[in-house]
Amino acid sequence: MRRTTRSLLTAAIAVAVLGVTACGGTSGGDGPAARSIDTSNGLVIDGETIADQALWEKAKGGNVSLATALTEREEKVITEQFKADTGIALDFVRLPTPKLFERAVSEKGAGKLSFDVIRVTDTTAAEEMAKNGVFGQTRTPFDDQLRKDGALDIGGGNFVSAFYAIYTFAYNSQAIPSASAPKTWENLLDPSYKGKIGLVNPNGSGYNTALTDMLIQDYGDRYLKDMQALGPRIFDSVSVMGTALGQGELTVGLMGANSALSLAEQGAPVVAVIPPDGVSAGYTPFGITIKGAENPAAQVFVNWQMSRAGQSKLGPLGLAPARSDVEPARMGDAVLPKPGDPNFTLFTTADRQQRQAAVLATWNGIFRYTG
Amino acid sequence: MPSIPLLVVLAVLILVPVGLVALAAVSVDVPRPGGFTFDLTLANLASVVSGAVGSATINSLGIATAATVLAVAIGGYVAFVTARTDAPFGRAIYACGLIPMFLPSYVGALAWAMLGSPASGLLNVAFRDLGLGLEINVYSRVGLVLVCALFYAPYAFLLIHASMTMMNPDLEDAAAIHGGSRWRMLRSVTFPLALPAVLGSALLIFVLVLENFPVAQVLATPGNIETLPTYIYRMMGFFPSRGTEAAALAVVLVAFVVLLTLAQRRVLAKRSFTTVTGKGMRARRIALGRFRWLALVPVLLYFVASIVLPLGALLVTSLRTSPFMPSFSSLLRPGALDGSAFGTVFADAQFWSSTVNSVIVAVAAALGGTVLSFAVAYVVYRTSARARAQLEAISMLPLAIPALVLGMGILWTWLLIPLPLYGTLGLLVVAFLGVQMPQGLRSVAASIRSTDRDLEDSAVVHGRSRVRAVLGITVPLMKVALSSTFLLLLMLSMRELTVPLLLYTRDTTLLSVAIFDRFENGGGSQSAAAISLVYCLLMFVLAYLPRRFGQKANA
Repeated sequence: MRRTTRSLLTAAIAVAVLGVTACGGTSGGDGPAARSIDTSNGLVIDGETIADQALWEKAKGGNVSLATALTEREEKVITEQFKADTGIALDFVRLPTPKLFERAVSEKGAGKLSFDVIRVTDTTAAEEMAKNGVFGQTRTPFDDQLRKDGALDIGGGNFVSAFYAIYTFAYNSQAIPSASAPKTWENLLDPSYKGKIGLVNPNGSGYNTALTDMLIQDYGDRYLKDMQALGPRIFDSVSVMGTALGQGELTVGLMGANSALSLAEQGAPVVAVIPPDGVSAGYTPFGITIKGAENPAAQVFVNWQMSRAGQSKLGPLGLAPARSDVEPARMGDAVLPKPGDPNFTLFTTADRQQRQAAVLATWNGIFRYTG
Repeated sequence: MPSIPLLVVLAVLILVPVGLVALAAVSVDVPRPGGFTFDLTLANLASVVSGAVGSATINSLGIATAATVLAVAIGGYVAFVTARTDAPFGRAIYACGLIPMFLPSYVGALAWAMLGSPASGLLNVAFRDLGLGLEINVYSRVGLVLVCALFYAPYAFLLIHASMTMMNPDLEDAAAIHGGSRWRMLRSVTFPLALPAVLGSALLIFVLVLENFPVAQVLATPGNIETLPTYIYRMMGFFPSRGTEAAALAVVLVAFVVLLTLAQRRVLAKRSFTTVTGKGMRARRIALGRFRWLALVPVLLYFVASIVLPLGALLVTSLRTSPFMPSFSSLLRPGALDGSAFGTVFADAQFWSSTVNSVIVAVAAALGGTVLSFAVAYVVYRTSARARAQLEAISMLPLAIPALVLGMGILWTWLLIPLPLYGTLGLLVVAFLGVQMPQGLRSVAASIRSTDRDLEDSAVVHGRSRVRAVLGITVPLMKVALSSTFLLLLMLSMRELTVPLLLYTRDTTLLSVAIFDRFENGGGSQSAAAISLVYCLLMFVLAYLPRRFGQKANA
């Protein structure tokens, strides 16, 4: 079904190769944007009520402790805007999802949970945290909209998807002229990329699991086997792989559109490609903890993140907002696929429950990386 | 009974975290707070004998052995040249031996990756520019050995230099008087007297290299070389983590290191190494004659490889506006270089708070660690307390356990202990005290074994209390060694990354964590390189100040 839709789409649209010119500014990060903020009756930003009067009175002047698996750069852009909009202090600790999981669950077990809000990149890890009682109930005034858009399809009320990460591939434009740049997933199997292609271990990374699943579903196991035959370099983090790509150690890397955008903005000759045969997308679990449930400022942060004000900071970072009523993700002038588009392949909860174990077993069996 | 309070302290700092790791090794579930099930199994230990662990073990043992031999050779050579020969520029040679310690091995590995990665390494770019047709690849076993040896050689240098500086010339004089050639005197008197320091530093370096995760991750992983630390990282670093299997592997490593420690004790127990008597003496300097200047060449090469090239790579990277550099001539293009990254670093409030945190924690941990190490070393080597062997064994335990695993044990411990330390800088200090106890003890042990106890005993016989005798006589005699221990622990605390990663909060972020974050957000970025350079400078200043003040105090 999906292949049929894709074929039609391929015929309908030209291959979109999105070059992001190197520039000094940071998408979405040129300082917090100016907003229309009204606090006369609660907190209202750009006409949308983030907190009612009662919540706002309790939250004003408070502070929030966030644990995040997002990159420092992206989390800073988002939280600086929150602080500018609300005047509420927010500190975040950045840890990879597995370490964040260990710390949160251990702290919860000892009754010393130190985080109000948690954002991770792997839904299974978030579910395990929820099972261990780390999360409270994550509710916002926008639940109807979020339900309609699918952001509540995960978490069972404990957490929601703050946004979707779009995974595709990117190339080094100094090493590959744009005329001969790869344009489709099949192009990546060209022997000329032998030893020059990078990918990230999907174990523990929901985003990379989603990408691996899409490749297996669309092209079968043989795609991974052909990729393995090229002797790819396997990385534990997409940021480190991005560095190798930017320096020219690699010519092509499988990565998030947000990472490619970030690299380009830092001056790296990295160009992300949106192949006509689709990109993968993964949820980003985001929820209030049992500690945060007692902190009105934390509730305001969660509300803000899921409001139009919070969601509008995501698109310029190359992240697909969870809400459909804000601007989609962009790279330069180009619009990236968004939820509901046929070339936006979301790794749904059902997909994960049915196939995640098999996807990882297939990947581990072919690449033999994790011992 | 001085050993009882020390045992209690070490039990809290080391035994409880290690005990939790040991429990994890035989548990079905990770024994984190709130999750104790006491469902035990031996399946985790069985997983240790899998094929993947075997190849990782062989790689790690080979790399650690080669790096240790090379590091001790480098450190020993520089120590010998500066402490016992008349080679010129003695103070500069001393600095060459010590300064590489200010460059954390993690940053050093990243810098060498910038220099020697096959396609884009600066050295390879330079070779291409010059048409030399050469290519080096640090993503290899040889690369790993060289980089580890470069940045661990200062440990050998510090310990061997302290030993050689304090060496009483009487035995060498006796050898000379009895007709021994210079080479024979060195071979049969000088070098054997330095054996405790050589073996102590070799053991220390071997185990540190064996469990060094950051360097292996930066250099071995891109080369598809499986090592024990990277294998454990993958066990721990992905979800669902295999913490119990990682703990089992850690337990096997502990057994291995305990065996090594016992072997070292056996070798050293066969004879006395006492050479510091408290009587006025100065180690004899050997005249090198026409080789005086030639002796400097290896030192200079070491300095270039360990400091000049890595710092140069960091500087170039911090100034480059694009991470891609096809040739050095591209740096001449307008806009190719700018210093804005340093402005970004200095304008970042988090950088300053991390710096202050790092200095506070490092100084406190180094002071506390030196005192604790001396106390333990004194009880172990100068008393007949019954718990001597236990004190030493417990002190050495953290060395054997990969920091990735031990960090979890420390996290669980301090979540369980009802003291208000969790989330404070105090937690990082006590964590470092435990983690760095082996290095502190080995450092003090080498010199306490070389220091004669006659003067201290004489003072006691003449009515001084033992404590006053120790403080008034033994401590001053060991001043050089204790200041070396303080410096060693200070540097280790400034560099420590893996353990604080599990324990830090936003208010207790350390500079090492901030750098890790920057590299994780793009290892070749300008700001990551810029903050690394500032970090190295800070470490240099921190190391220099105590020496400077020490010299003034002695003047």
